[in-house]
Amino acid sequence: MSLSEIITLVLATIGVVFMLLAAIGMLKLPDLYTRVHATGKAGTLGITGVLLAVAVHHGDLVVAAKMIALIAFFFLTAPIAAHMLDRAAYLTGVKRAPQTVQDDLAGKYDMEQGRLR
Amino acid sequence: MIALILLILVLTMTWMALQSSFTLADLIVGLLVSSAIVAMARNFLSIPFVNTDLHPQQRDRTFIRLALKWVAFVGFALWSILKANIDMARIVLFRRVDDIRPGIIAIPLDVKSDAGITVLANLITLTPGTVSLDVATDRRTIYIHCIDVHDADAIRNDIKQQFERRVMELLP
Repeated sequence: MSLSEIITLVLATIGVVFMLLAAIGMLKLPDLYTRVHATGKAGTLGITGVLLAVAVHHGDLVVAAKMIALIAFFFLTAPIAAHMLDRAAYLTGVKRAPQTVQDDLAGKYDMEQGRLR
Repeated sequence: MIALILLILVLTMTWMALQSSFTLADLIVGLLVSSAIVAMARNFLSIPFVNTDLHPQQRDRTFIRLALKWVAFVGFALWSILKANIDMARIVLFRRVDDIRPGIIAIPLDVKSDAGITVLANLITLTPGTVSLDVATDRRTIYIHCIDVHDADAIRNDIKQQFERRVMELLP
């Protein structure tokens, strides 16, 4: 095996393992808010690993540039998706897990207008 | 208007460079796609992303020092993201679900600019066990959902000292 094949395999493995972790978190964690943690984070590193593996596999500068652009866009958009999901869930009153200990946001929302007071 | 046309041209060039082919067909498709993107994003392009009036000590900041700080910041962000993923993996794999203590905590904000708040909120979402939920209308507080609130003050301190300090240096 050549060096670039080994690097490709390692990167792809890291990526797929983190995606698997995101899936396990999805099943295991108790409510929407905690599940967003699992997919929002493990998902980003998973995608990064797989895309970097693609870049190394092709060993082509144009492909590498595309992959790095994709990773950058993913890092810019993934947090926004997580934030919007959480916020929409909070506004529509999705129930939180019973072990939730603290809610500094309680009563801070103007529910009719959907914005913070 | 000229800025928009220039933007369309730059986007078209990027499109053709990424296609790595410079035929007439690519030019036409690139122009169409770029025009569509610019038309859709038009309303947001007029909003200045960085509030320039909030930069206090512009004089003693040379361009190179600023660029180096940005590089250091991106490196720090990537390192935090890697740590966040490993932390998350540990919670998903080894913690019993009954043991985690999720919660929403309020963090006072010192960053003032739109860009600063955006970068900070994104960084919070990408790093250990925290997702930004919302920013108060008066922009003095950010609310975050935290997957494991064992010590709310420690989390607050961590975010203020680690992240907000670094964001403040670049985008106050």
